[in-house]
Amino acid sequence: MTDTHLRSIKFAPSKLALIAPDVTLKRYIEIGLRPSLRKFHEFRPVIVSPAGFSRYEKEGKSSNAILGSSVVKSGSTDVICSISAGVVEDSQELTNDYRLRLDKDIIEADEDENNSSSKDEDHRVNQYSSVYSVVEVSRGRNGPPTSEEIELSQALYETILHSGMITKESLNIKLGLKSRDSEGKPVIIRRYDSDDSDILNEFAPKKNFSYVLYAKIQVYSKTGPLFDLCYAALIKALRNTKLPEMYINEKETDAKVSALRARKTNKNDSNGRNGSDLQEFDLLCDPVSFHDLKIDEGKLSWSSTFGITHGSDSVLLADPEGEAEENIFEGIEVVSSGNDTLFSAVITGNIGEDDHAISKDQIKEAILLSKRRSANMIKEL
Amino acid sequence: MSFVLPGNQIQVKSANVVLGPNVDIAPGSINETVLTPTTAGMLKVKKANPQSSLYYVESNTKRYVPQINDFVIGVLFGAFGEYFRISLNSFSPPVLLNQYSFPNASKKNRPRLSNGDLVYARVSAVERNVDVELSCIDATTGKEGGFGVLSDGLVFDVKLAFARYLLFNSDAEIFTQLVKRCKFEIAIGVNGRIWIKTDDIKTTIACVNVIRNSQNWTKEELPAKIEDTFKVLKTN
Amino acid sequence: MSFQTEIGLLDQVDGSSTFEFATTKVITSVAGPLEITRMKNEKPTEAFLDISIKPATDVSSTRESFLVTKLAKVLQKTIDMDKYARREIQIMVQLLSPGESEEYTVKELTAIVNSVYLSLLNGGISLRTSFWATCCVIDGNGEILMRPTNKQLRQSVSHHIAVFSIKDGKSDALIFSDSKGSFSENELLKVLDRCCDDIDSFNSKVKKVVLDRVKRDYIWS
Repeated sequence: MTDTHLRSIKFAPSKLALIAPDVTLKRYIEIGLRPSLRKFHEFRPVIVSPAGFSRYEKEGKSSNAILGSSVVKSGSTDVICSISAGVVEDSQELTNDYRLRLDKDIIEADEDENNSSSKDEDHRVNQYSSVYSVVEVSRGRNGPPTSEEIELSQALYETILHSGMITKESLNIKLGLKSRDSEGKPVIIRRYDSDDSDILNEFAPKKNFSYVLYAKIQVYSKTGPLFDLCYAALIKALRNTKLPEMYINEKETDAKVSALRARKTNKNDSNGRNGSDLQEFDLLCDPVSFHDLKIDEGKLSWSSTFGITHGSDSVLLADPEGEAEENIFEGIEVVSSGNDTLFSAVITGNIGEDDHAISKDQIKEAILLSKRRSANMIKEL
Repeated sequence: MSFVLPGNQIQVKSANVVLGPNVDIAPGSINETVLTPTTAGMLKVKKANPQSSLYYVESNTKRYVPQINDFVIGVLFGAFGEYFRISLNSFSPPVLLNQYSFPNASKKNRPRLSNGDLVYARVSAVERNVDVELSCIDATTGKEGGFGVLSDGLVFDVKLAFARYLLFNSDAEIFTQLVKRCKFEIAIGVNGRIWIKTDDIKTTIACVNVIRNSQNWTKEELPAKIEDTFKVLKTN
Repeated sequence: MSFQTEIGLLDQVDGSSTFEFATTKVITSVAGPLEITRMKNEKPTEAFLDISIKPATDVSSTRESFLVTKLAKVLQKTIDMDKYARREIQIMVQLLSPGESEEYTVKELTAIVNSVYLSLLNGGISLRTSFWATCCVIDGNGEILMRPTNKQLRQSVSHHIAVFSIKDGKSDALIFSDSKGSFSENELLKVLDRCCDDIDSFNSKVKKVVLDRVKRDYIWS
């Protein structure tokens, strides 16, 4: 019989960090440190600034279609956000989306509750709008969006929509009418020039148009929780977004008949509009004049992410960064304004083994920290 | 016997516990005195030997996962090197059967098998990350022990739980009833396959129908339904 | 106030179930452990979950992809992933009736989580714990409404979903929660408590439907 000893294998700390990031992290936490040398509740510094490449921020005439922009830097990560917009025909068609029509169940159920008269405008969600964002995390090659990118984009969309930061009303287009004044010079009559409103009412189309906002968010050299940075970039960009004024040519309004297109009359339409439902208008953007996108200032918010590790004690780590910390499964993500309002809270917990369930105290602590963080950071937006 | 769901805590009294199918040590119980079922089913406790008791949860599934020493019926569908490739279950990874895992097999005396042949075998090795291996040699005697190629007859699928029940209860009501009516040879694989062979096709079909349908019959209605099935056979 | 479910209705998969509550209905199926279908998905130490969610109308979009990531978060800790190393578990979800407007996903996710749980039990996939989901909204008056109708949802100020693990028939640890809208800290904590209680109120029925199914499997004995 030969003696066999179980010898312990020793790894250099840098190697162990690669093999077993969780073990390394535990050791760090036990001596009260984090791999990044930040304190447990310390966030990374974030610099938020306008990027200055939108058409209204540039000097002189610019022909690009970017309406707002921002840059967010944190550690080695850069996030660049640009806002563009499109124009859609409004409400009736959008809110009575065809999908809803197909879904008879919902409508019937809805009508049962409402005694058949459901006013969509009463619904809170109908007052709000959002931004369709596309997040691109650069990884050195092209390809279809990864699930991380999709998740980020959709999370941004849903958070902004339900927070009510952008109202539908603020995206409505107040159409002007291009005409000639008594001296034959072209002028654009706008709705808020009160004395001309009669003309507008006569010529303006019977239907409404509104802007749709798109955001393109590019992320370079990703570290740490991206949602926080993307959210900050998006809101900063929205804050300096300016929407161009729109007008229609007078000619177009005259030629209503030519714009008529055969189309099945929409029976659900209560406005009594028929036949001419789909007029075509020559909508034009005013190259010079614009107005600010209105954002509900009270709903400005900042997102903070926490990871939770379990050593001898459970510890809340703000802004987890680096391989070991980013692999933490449990976490809390809070979007809060500086005061008591939260706009999103996502908690991911474990199944409660070794009494490692997420406790109320941890949730409270995370919310408290995120409020403080928001109060500090919202000034930057 | 009681009905359990995952997350239920089973307090274990005796120190020596054998974990059977569908039972695991509860997450977080370091001293291993609390067990938890991993699926919904009936908790059963049996004496494995004088010192220890076996805990397991009886539950029906559709997919067979090989366990060591299970008796199975497989279909041969390929060969490579000295191995046959055997399928135990549709859409599950194939298992291996060594050509030398037959009694008296040697380099000169290889078993002659072709694709589509049925094999009754024992699961001889289940290792993580390695293909499962079967054997046609009885583990204790080193002899044939009833394993080998199944020729003729008819093979059909039943619920896994039903196959287990029939294999472990040779005095099951269904068998005592069948024995009264005909002569048959049967092989039951816990992978939910049953092979049966009788003297003529009609009887075989009747037996198959009886066994297959009896998994949806209650104990009380069993004799009458068997009678019905065989009555049809006689009139034809 | 309660739910309807049918367990094990599909023949060709290992586990399946339908789940219906408050006009939201979904059918799910589970197959596994399978051999990995695409080598790049193989994970040496744990199972690969292949989840796909199909909406009631139209094709899957980012909205469904987001639901997939949320569902994966729940399943990752509840399925015994280590047991199925290098294997794949396929989970298919087909919504039959969303029961909510497309701006929302809480009711759908609730139904999906619960249905997948029943399907996993039916398929005999090894679970580390039981779990259950529920959802609620806070209306304009600060009132918490459990399992809201679509109208209540559309008029709500905030909406929430919570998934709890179940230990010995009692809800135990918070596995996942998602809250959107505007709400306060106290409201969030109250919502979690209410969801916890709501899940408790379901337990006996869940146990009964699963037991019925198990009994049906053993009808001969």
